[in-house]
Amino acid sequence: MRTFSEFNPIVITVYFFSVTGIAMFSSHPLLMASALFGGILYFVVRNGRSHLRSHLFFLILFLILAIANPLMSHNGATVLFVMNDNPITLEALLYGLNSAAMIIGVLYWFRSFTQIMTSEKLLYVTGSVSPKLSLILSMSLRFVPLFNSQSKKVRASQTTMGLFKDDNIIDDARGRMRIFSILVTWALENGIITADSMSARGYGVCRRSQLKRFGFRSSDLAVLIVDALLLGLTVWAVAAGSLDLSFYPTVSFEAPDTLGICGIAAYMLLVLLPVIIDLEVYFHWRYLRSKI
Amino acid sequence: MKTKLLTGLLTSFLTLLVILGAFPVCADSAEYTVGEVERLADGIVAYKLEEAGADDVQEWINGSLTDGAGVFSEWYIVGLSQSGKYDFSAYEKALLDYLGEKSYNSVSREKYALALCAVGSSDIFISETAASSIGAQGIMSLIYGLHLLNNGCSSTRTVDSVIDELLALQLDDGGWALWGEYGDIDVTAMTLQALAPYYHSDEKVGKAIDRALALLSERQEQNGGYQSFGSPNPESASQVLTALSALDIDCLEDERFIKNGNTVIDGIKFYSLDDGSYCHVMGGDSNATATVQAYYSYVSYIRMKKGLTPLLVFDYKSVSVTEPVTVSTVTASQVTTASTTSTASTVSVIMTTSTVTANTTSAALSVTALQTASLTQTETVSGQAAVITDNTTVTSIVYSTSRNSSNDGYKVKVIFIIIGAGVVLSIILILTGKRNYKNFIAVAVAAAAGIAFVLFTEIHSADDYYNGEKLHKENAIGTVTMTIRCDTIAGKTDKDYIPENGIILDVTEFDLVEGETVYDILREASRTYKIHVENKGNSGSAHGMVYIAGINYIYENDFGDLSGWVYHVNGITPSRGCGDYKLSAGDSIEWLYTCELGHDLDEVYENENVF
Repeated sequence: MRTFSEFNPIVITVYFFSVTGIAMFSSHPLLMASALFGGILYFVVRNGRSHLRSHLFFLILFLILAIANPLMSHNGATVLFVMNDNPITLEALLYGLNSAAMIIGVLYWFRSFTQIMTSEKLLYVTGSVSPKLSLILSMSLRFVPLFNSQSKKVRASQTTMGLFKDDNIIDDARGRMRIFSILVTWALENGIITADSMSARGYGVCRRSQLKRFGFRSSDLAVLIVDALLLGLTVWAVAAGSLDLSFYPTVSFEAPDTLGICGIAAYMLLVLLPVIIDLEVYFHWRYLRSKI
Repeated sequence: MKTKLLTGLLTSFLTLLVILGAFPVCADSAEYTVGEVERLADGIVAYKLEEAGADDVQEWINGSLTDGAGVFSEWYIVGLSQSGKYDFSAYEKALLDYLGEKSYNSVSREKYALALCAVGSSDIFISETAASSIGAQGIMSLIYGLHLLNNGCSSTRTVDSVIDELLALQLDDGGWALWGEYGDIDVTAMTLQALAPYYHSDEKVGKAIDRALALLSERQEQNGGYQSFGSPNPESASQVLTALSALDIDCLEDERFIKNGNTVIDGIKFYSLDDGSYCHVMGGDSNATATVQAYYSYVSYIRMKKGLTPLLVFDYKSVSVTEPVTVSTVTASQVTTASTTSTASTVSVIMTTSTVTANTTSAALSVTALQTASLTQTETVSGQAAVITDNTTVTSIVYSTSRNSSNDGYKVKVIFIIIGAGVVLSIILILTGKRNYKNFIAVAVAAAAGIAFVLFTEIHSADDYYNGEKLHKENAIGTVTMTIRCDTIAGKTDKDYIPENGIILDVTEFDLVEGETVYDILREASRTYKIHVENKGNSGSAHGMVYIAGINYIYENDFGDLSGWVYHVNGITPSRGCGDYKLSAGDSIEWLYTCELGHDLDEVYENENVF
């Protein structure tokens, strides 16, 4: 009775990379749509109604990515209109939508991934391969939230000193630029200080070891096997060419054969796996509580 | 508090003003004026009904107008047939009887032939007239002859030759006249009516018409009317109104034809009498000519507002029994669909319900939202004529006029919308209390960036761009030929868009204007033959740095890292971009697809020193 995030980090890592890997190396719209849908669904299931602003940001990013493609690529037979002697085509727009779904879907999966994979878990996963690498990874991943909190501090102190005006757009933008430049300076300096501090505490004197505190249970193995089966089926369908389609010059969207349908169904199950596990836990827990 | 309320009221008023300003829709006033003109036309009909003692229009047609067939009825018949559906069989028979009695000169014959066309007759008289009379009697016979050709009559004369002859007769001041050196308003306006269908499709005609319009605008009186031979009269103004309407110019809205707030219609209405008829000179008695001309000019204005064809391009089309109509010669923008339908058993020619399908065709209009703002508005008016004999060909002619051919209209609207949005944003800033002046500077900069983007992009609709029209350039210095081939990859893949014989465009001739580059010709071919071409680096007018990334969906790097499009001129590989290569007459261009950086083609370099 564990939620998906409480499974062994190796299982979680394998799962996330199988989902995003399929999304990145195939181009079938149904796979992209499931990846996007599953990514958003799992993130919302985990976070509820918070992060509304970031959802808006990703929506805008999605639209920009979708529109950018037809403006850059002019391949395709169905011309919508002609801009500066280059055709703007429906196919390029559809391709843009498809790839935007892929990018945003993968981004959402990685948002959940970074929430679940604390640096400790990351160290556990990569530590067996190379403890040095895992240290660097966890330090660099730490950098993003560190940067964020530092920027809040700088902003607060700038406002206190009266250097930051936000009553008009231009001054606001200039203030933000100044904060950014301060942050970059600080980050460079901080890197040097960290290195000095690490060597002062004896980093690199002898070989690194690490503590392993994550067990590998039978349910971990079960999830890993299910994951491998579903992934295998999808990879088979993709590799066999059942889910191939080309966008240019015309979209050749044929109904997939049996193998293709199996592949799509397997991938849909795969993306819903964490949500299914979490729901199972939720209802199980309610059931147990109701008996008390 | 008080000031805040005041600011609120003021800003909401301003917002309303901006929103209204951004969408200059004056549908109400336009409807009003059409109604007004319809009322004027109905007034004339009512007057004539009373004069003829008829109860309704059909009775008037069968009675007075049939009696006057060949004498005074013709222009009323033209106006009536173009403004509603009536049964003209009695009139047609009467006119044919009248014509059988004696022979007439060319201009009269053409006038009668036009009237017969208008009522959908298929009598041999029309084709005989078209065959013999066009141009036989000076400028008027050319004008009426061109009208006959516009209605699909076959003749020994081609449309182009008649147009050329008419253009040659244009006087230095831009007008036309029966004699003398100065353009006469009536003749100029009548010439414009005949040339109107070619206003947008033929560049020469377009220029000539623009000159004539300048003359008409200049000669308009302060009361909106016109003079002919030194005396002001309504007939000239009526002819001008008919001509403007045929050219799709709304005389109520076009600044060129509003003098002192008076329009051409005001210039005609000036002469109206209390009973609905019109007089020839101010204060005079009712005049038949003035009345009938005022009537059909109103009809033509109403037709223009409804998006129908010019007055003398008839909804009922004539079909000659002996020879099938060939309309393809008329103009490139006229689409002919000949459908063979057998209609039988009706002995006399009865114009049954002529289907006037004024459906704005889907093909031209469905493309984008952007288009709806500005672009081609195609109205299709199809007329059918049922003919006596069994198994005769019924030709239905689809007449299409492209209106609003200027493409810049959308830019003005978009710029207006951007400015409006900027003002609304400023108002929101004021309302929310962010009144720092720098906010407004930022909004202005953003709006300026938006406007600059709009100005530097040139957007065409797909139908407008790939128009399939072969360009005949007036000032061509010769011709060049171009071919597009992909022999190196033909047959190597199963992709169906790669032609098996490797020929994307066979050797084709193009008119060349001084200074045109290889890129210009390629673009022209792309537009004419609807070949997909993607270029990179062409922004606005500076296309010296054009790179052709793909033609016909075949792209660079599609067949290996060294593959792409190159061009040869006269067998030599130029070492500069296709936007820099200025052509001379007689050059032959080849666009070739290479898989090995050009080494798989027969290369001869233009200048060996370069490499």
